[in-house]
Amino acid sequence: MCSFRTYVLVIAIIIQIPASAQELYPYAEPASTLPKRMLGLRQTNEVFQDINSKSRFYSAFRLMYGLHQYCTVGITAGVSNHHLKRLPKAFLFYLLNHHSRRFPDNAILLEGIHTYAKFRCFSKDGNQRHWRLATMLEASWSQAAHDEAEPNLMTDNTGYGIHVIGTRLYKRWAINLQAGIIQTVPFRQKSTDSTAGFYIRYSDAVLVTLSNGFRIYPSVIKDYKQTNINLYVELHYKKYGAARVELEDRSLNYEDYKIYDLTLYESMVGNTYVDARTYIQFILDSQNRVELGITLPAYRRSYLHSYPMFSFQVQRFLFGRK
Amino acid sequence: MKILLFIQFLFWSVQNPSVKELTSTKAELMVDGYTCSMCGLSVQKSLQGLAFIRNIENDLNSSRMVLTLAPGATVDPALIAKKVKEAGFSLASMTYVMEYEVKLDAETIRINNFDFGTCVNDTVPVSNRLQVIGKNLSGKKEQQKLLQSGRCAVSGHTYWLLPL
Repeated sequence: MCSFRTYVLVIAIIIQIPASAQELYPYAEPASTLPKRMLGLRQTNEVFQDINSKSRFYSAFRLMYGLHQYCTVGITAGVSNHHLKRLPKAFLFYLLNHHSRRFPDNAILLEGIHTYAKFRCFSKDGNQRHWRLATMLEASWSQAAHDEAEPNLMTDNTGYGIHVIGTRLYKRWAINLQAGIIQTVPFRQKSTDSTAGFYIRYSDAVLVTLSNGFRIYPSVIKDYKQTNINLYVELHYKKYGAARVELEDRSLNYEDYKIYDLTLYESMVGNTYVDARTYIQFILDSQNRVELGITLPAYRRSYLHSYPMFSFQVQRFLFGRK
Repeated sequence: MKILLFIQFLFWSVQNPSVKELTSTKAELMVDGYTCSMCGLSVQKSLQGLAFIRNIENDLNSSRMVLTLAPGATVDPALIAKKVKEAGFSLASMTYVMEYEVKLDAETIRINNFDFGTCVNDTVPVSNRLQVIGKNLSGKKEQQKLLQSGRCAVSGHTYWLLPL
C-alpha cells in the first residue's frame, strides 16, 4: 500500500527527470484530439484479485475517430466477470456469499457500451509546447446488475457525464487535469420466479484526474521507427454518495449486514478515494502503443476493484487518407 | 514629353515587372505544438495528402519539416496550413528555399504558380530564403505589425514574401 504522501513525493521526483513530456495518457483523456480522419483501436484489460483471491477481469474494445481536428468521438464495448445480468431471487444470500471461495464465479458478461465525444475548444501552440482545453461528453448503457454504490460509466452503469480537460505541454513536462461529474440511471429489475425485485439508485460522482507523462527513452528521437518509452503517473480522485437500495419494494439497510461483511457495507456507502495509476508505455513505429499499468490506492480505496490492479492495453492508430 | 514618359515607363516595367515568376522545389516548415514522434507522423501523413508534395523530411527534435515540391505544380500555402491544422497542430512558419538569391523587385512574386505580395526587408535586399507571411500561419500579431508597417504591398494578396 502506498500513502498519498509517498505518491506526491514520487511525482515530485519524476518531474525532475530531464526528459521530454508526453500526453498520450493511457487512462485519462488529454485535451488534444485525434487528427482528422484518424482511426484509433484500443484493447484494454484490467485484472485484479478480489478479497477472496478470485481473479476478476474487465476487458474492453474501443474505436476512436477524428471526426474533425477539434472533435474526437469514440465507442467502447466492455466485458467482465464482475457482475450478473440479473440478481438472483436469493439476493441476500448472493450478496453475502458471492465473494467467498466456494461461491461460483460470475459468468463473463457483455456489460455494455460507452460512447464519448471530445471537443477541443482552445489551443495555444508554441514551439514544442501548447496549452489546450477541451470538453468531453460521455454516455453509457449497461445491462450489468451493478450492486455497488460507486457509479462507473465504463461500463457498470447506464448514465452520462461531462468533463473539462486542460493540458499543458512544455518541453520537459506535460500535465493534464480532467474534472467532471457523472450521473447514472437507477438499476431496476422486476421480481420473477428466478430474480429478486431490486432497485438501486446511485448518487452522482465527481471525478478529477491529474496526469503526468514523461518520455524516458530516447532522449533524442531519430526516426519514426524508434521505440519510445514513456512513463505516466495519474492520480484519480473520485467522490460519490451512498446508494439507495430497495429489495422487494422494501428499503435495504446495509448497516444491518456490516457485521457479516464489512466490505459489502463499505461498498454501499458513500466514499472518497484517490487511485494512483502508473503506466509504462511503449510506442512502436509511431502508431502502435503497448501499455502496462498498475493501480494502487493513494488515499482510501475504490470498491469496484481490489489492489493492486494490473492493466494491459494495446492501441493502434490508422491515418486517414486524402 | 508623353513619349519620354512612355519610354521611362517601359524602362521601369522591364526593370520592375509587375509579376515575377519563380520556381522552387524546396520549402521548410516549422510546426508548433508537439514533441512526440506519433504527432510528427500525424503531420507528415496529413501533408502527404497534398499532390504537390513529393517528399517530406521531418526533424522530430526541432519540429522542422523540409518539403520537396513537385515541379510545375501549384503550391498553395493555405492548403499546407490546413493539413497541419487537421493533424491537430499549427503551422508556425513556411519558408521557400530558392536555389539562388532572389531580389523581390516586383509587386507580385509568383512561386510555383501561386501569387505572393512582397515585403521589403531593409537589411536583406536579396536572399534565397523567402518567408511566407499570411493567413493561418502562427504569429498573427507579428504579421499584422509587418503588414501595417507599410513594408508590404498589401492590396490583392493573402500571402506575402519576406526575404530572410
